[in-house]
Amino acid sequence: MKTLTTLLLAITPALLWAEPPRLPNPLEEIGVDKYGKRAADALRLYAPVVAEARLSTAQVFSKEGNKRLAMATVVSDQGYLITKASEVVGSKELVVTLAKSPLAPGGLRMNAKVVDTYRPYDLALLKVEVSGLRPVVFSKDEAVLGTFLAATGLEDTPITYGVVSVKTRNLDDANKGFLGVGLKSSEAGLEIESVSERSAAFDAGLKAKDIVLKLNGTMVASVEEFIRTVGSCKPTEKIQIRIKRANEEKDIDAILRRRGDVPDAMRRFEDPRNLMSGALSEHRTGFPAALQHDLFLKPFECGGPLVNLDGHVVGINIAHSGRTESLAIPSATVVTLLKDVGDGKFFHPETEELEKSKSNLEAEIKRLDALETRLKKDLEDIAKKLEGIIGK
Amino acid sequence: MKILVRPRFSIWLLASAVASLPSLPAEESLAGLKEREQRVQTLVAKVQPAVVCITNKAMAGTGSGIIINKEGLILTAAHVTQATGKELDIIFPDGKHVKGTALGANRGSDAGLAKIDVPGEYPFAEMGDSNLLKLGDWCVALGHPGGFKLERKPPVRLGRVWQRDPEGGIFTDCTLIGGDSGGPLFDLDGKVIGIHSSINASAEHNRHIALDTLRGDWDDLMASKVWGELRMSGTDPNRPKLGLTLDREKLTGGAPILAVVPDSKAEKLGLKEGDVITKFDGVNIPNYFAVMRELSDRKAGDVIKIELKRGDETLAHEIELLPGKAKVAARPPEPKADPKAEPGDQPKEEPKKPRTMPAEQPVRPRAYCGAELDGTAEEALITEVAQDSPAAQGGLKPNDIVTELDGKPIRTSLNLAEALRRHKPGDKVSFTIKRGAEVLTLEVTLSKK
Repeated sequence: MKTLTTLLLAITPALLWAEPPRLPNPLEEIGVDKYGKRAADALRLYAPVVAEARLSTAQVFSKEGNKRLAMATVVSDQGYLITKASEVVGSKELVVTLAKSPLAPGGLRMNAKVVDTYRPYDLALLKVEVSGLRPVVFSKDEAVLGTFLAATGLEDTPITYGVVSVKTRNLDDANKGFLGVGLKSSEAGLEIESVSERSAAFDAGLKAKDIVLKLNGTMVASVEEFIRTVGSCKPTEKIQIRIKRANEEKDIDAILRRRGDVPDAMRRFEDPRNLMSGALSEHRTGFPAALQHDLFLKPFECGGPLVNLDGHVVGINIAHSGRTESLAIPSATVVTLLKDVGDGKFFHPETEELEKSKSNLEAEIKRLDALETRLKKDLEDIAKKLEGIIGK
Repeated sequence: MKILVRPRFSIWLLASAVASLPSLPAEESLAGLKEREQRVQTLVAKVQPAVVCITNKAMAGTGSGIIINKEGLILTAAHVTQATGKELDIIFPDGKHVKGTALGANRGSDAGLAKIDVPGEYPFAEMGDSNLLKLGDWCVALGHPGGFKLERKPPVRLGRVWQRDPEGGIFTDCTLIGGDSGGPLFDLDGKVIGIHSSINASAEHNRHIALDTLRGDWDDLMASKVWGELRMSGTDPNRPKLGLTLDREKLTGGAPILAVVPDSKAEKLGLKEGDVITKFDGVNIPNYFAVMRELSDRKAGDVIKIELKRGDETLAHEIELLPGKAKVAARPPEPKADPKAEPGDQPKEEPKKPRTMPAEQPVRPRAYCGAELDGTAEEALITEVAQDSPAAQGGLKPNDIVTELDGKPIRTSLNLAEALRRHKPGDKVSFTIKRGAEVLTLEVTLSKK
């Protein structure tokens, strides 16, 4: 018997010693400078890789105090750049600098203002009053697992380098479909073990001991497959589950909830050791599409281009999210969000999804209303009959 | 003071003079990087399916492992199987579970073996030769950082070897975190050259056990022998305790006290929540991890000097260390003692029984609940429920994790023990617990017993 407890797993203390042996001789640590991912010998190899994209890379400072806040990426020749919103919005006045280039031999320093933000990806759109900047060229190809990467800065060599760790996925846990059942695989098939209160499963009438036969018309082989399929659906999406209850098969429709509706206590546990090696980005999770890589970025090094060995921009670095991980918004997503950049604003792709959810829910309400009317009528008929019998 | 069983086959050459560390040759170019990228992509596709998550039913912790033959033999870290116990739940990257068994472990070197119990043909990686490793060699780390996550495969991390140590350690800048323990380090041919073991504050400081350290121990590991002493693990059952809960998240300026075990020596000394430990036997303490490291070098019964900050005040105390396996008893002793007994009298302890905390001297009739807690777990985990006890009647079960008591958050066993201590027999308390994926609220009426 296996009971899948995905939520519990995430809060389990994951094992790794945090207290290593002392090195035989502290001097030996000198190897770090030589072999770390900011070591000059390796960065040198990446110089041709960042040559193009660095000309479209900028650095964002606060005017007051001249503090480095984030990197930015030029996205239009009309003076628009994108950057990491949460790092810059707190500062009243912003300054942007660009690398030295044939266009600006001395480098460029310009005032910038935030004209729009897009929360799901923590992006801000900056406007500078300079035209003719060189917009970055986004790659159409998705970076596959194991692709070598570099983060461009303003210099000839990149800030640091690394590799694609996990292919693009949805990190917006709150925005995944959630049914609310505990499942186990038994001899009869996938058996519902428990149904959470106030969940989509509860409202749909699923019960413990029901055997799941099909999900949206397809056989489900394992608990994992069931969870993966449900998780890939959107909240408010309707799913159909064929179950067997006391030797009777029936279809049950459930309208998924947001996973965000689960109590706080079940939220992801963060290993405190993630904070051992330097600050993480304040805003570092929940991105609806993110490419995970192992570049060890500082929070103020996010917002700039991420390139592959062909020098193509595969994403925009958006967070340093843990000791082992940073996240980038894949280029395909960024391109979609920039559909309306000429108007000085982000395009909101979720409006389409919300429209769809809305019509889904409206249809469901209609169906339930019709059902209510019918049932009320049945009830009236029965009451009348009853009255007739008693009346006699 | 530190008794240390050395790994038996530790014949590592130290990195020689710093000046001779090789750097990338000048003729290295982008073409070289592209070739490496190709090799990394090929190796990841080949070996990623063999990188398993190792845990157990109680989820006492999750680590990683690498399958090294088609029958399902697994290399892992000693401290992984020492934490999970013998019966293992092995999870494949695609979410498939199989049962496994822990084999031998050398706690000194931190190498361990395990096997899958279900016969089958499993994906596996070949073992390489870590003796051939040179400083500057490129490598790839895989594992299950943060525990098993269905929505992602074991993340890929790239790095180079920058150091070796005489105890069989390989240091790389492949970043690791909790959950990676026992996972594999590969050379670019996709052969296993190391097992993830520990990290330190710097992002480059990731220590792996060299594979060749393990070869000398092979027969003993296969024979399920367990030997050696853990030197530093957070799961080290022998590491003595202070009787304090410390803040792990603050990294500089000392180790702040979050809670003091009721009736412990620490409480009797007057230590309080908010005090910050700054020195331990004269050694400066920047954070929690430093305290743990110092504790690992000592044993129960040692008396140590600690220095603390309380506001602007500096306090110095001598404190006796408690046995590591000391459990926090949620159930107070049965009040058999004569009520007229002197306040200083301690109920007699049975010989050999580990000392329990809080010290067994009830100051007033305590409420009885009947749930045993795991004092070593990171959360308030119930391990046993006494038959017909208030806990049993209220519906509490082993493996429940208590998250709230009467609506107030509970983070550790200590929190819970302390919160329960404030109650008297007859009080009705509400437990909010996690049971698997469910969250339940249960009413328990405490009794006198």
